[in-house]
Amino acid sequence: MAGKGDKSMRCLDLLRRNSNILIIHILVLAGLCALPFFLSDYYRMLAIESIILAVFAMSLDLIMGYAGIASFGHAAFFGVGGYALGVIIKYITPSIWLAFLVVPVICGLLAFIIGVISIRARGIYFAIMTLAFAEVLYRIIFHTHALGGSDGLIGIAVPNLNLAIFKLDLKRPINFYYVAVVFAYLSYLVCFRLVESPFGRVLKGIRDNEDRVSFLGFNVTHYKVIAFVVSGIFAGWSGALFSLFKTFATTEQLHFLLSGKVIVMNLIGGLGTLLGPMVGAVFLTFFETILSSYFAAYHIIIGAIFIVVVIFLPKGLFGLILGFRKGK
Amino acid sequence: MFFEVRQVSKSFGALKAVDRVTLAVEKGQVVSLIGPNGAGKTTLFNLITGVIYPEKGDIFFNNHRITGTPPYKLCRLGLSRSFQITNIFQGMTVFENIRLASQGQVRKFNLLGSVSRLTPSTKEAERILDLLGLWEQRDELAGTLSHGDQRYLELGIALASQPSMLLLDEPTAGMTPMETRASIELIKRLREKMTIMLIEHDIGLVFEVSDRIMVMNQGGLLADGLPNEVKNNKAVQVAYLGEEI
Amino acid sequence: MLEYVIYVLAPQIIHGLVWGIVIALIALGLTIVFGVMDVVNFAHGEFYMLGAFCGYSLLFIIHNFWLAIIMAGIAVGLMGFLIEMAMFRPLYGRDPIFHLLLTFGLGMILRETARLIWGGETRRVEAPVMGTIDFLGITYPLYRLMILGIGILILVGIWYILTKTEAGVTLRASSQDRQMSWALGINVARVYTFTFVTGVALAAVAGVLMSPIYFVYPTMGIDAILRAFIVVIIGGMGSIAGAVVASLLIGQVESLASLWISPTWAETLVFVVLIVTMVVKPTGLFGRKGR
Repeated sequence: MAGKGDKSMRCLDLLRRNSNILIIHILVLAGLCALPFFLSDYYRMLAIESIILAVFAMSLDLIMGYAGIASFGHAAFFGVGGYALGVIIKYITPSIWLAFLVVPVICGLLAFIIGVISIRARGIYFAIMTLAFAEVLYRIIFHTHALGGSDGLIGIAVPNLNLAIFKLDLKRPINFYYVAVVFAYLSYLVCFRLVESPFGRVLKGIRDNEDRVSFLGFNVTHYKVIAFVVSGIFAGWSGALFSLFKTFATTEQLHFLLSGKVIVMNLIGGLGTLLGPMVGAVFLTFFETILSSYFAAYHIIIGAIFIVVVIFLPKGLFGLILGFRKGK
Repeated sequence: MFFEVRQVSKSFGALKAVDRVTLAVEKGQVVSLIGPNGAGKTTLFNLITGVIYPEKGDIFFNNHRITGTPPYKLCRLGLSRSFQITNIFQGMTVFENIRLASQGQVRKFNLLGSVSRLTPSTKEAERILDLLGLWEQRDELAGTLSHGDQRYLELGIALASQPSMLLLDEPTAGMTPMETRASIELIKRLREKMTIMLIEHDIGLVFEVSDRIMVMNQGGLLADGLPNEVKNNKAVQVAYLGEEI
Repeated sequence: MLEYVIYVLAPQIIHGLVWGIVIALIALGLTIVFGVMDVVNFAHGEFYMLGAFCGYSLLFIIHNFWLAIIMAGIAVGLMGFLIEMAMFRPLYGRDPIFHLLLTFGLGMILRETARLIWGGETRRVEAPVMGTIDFLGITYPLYRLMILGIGILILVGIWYILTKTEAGVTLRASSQDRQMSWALGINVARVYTFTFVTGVALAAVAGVLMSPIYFVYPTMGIDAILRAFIVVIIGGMGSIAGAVVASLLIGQVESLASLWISPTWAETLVFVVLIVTMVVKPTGLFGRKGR
């Protein structure tokens, strides 16, 4: 018997069932909001950088962890996002909102082009195609003097963020921190919704058994390209925020070592968990920065950790935790 | 004719895997395709379902020319297939396996919706789980099922696409006699709603369910007729047993 | 016109041949390892680099360039042996992406270790023979011609080993059908180890050979691996003939293109060739593994 009473019953039931998750969300958010007050300036900056990179890492998880598509050139979207933001803010109009509207269009289009061209290739071949595209972009931008060439696009004046009620001065790190947190949280919510949606289920099916999925009536190519585009959009957004934070865009943001690093973040954190790669990004950023001040050849340790994870912890740190929760 | 294969051929190098096979199936029939190993039966299925392209010949289904049509389009047209080697989603639960399959009938891309709201797909999945006797295992990972149950799941995935024609490739392979018996009953129930073509090695099953039997050998169609006709066909006996009885 | 051909075009073509042969030596190890073991070795360039550094250091002790090549090859081969046993073995049978990631991490470690041991500056190595040689009106550095000659010798040698010796046939069998080879009693594990050791030793030899021309520095492996990858993909992963053909092709493309466009754009052109090839034939020119 449908009726108003029924609807409110359903809402209450939904709330009761999800109350645990809601509490966790509130706690985490509260913790993140309180965090900057306990950090020195240096670590605050590091936190901002790691939060931005966390979204970048999550964007890769969308395709690697959920659709099973490996990409070795994901830095391309990160870098193009950064350069796009730089160009818009410096030469077109100092509006952050506008930049963040244009960046996904550019990066999405780029991802669409790369995806459609490369999709005929499978597995490792696709991955290397993405690497090739990233390298081409890297070289093109490196040799384009209008974009600053090897020096990069420097001197991006950070404008205030117009929030209608007031303007947020983003030159103050603490303000930028909150913007980063909001950005990361919203990105996570959208991505979470995405992977739990019917679309996301098909992606999981593709990762599990790609061939069978097409026999179920799904055009696998379409699904892969769409996933790739969404992934590119989030990578571009994070790259744009990164350049805004650093006030410059350099070719290092397109370098294949960054593409490799984001894969490392994903693997350490745990593929297919969304949160895992985010944690992996934070972990790696802090670890790298702290380690590099003690030990010049810190890459050896990172490489060693990586190898240990690959051999002994294929599900990543987060995957390990999730495994315990499922009561293996 | 509901389903027709006309002069379909496919070679792999020097090997003629399928050689000018021609057959037709009426709507509502249950047709079995039998033959020794390597006869080309699965290759024929692969040709029909768009996995490989025929060099010559055409395939027609429900008034559509489906030669070389990719698998996902065939599914939407109503042609569904199960596999000889179990081809399920190992990392997903039994329920999710079937629900994903029934989701294939929904044409729109749904990026932000909630899966639990897909009630038609969910209901269909529940119905099939019940039909196959897999309701108890619905929350278990598909990879942990017994072989027989995995074969049922294999069948269930094909069923969830709501086909009008079902191609089954050795559905009872590796099943216990009890499971095979249950499968026979299942096929008999399914034939009320769909046309079925199956590849099988279990001759008892074949003779019990089939309206017609087709025999393949070395890529070619050796015989095509009523079960009794085929049973007494000398060429078929030679192909299977290597000598005349 | 004739002058152009003699003084500009011809040397450039020979440059391309030399460069192509060197790429082939690097790419060969990569493609053999993939063909037999299904492993994409991202650290392959680092073995090239280590070979060069070993050669550099050895030259201080043994003053004989040719001996240094052989010893560097052996040293790196030994390293490869230990690495394969310790790190690769646990991963056989898993999703191929794990080997990929493993070798990525390995590359990082090897690069930094080299930097730690030898420092980050570029080292110079003297060519064992100096001077130029005149032929057909062209003047060309003698050492580069020697590289060409040695490279061809090595390639022919490998072709001979693979087709005429039992070891070679075993290798090819394992690459074509692992299960069957194993069923036939071939010790696949040993074949894998042998393959990997040979692959990295080849890269090391290439490293030493090239050191007088391109010098020695810790990140030299990255440039090498990118080219090697391109060539292996274009030629078809696992195909030795493909790797050789693609190497020579790319060598010429880069060499001749740099006559008309700057060398860095010529480099970019190589990537474009890769993309085009993969669009047309995703598994490469001679590719047979349909993965």
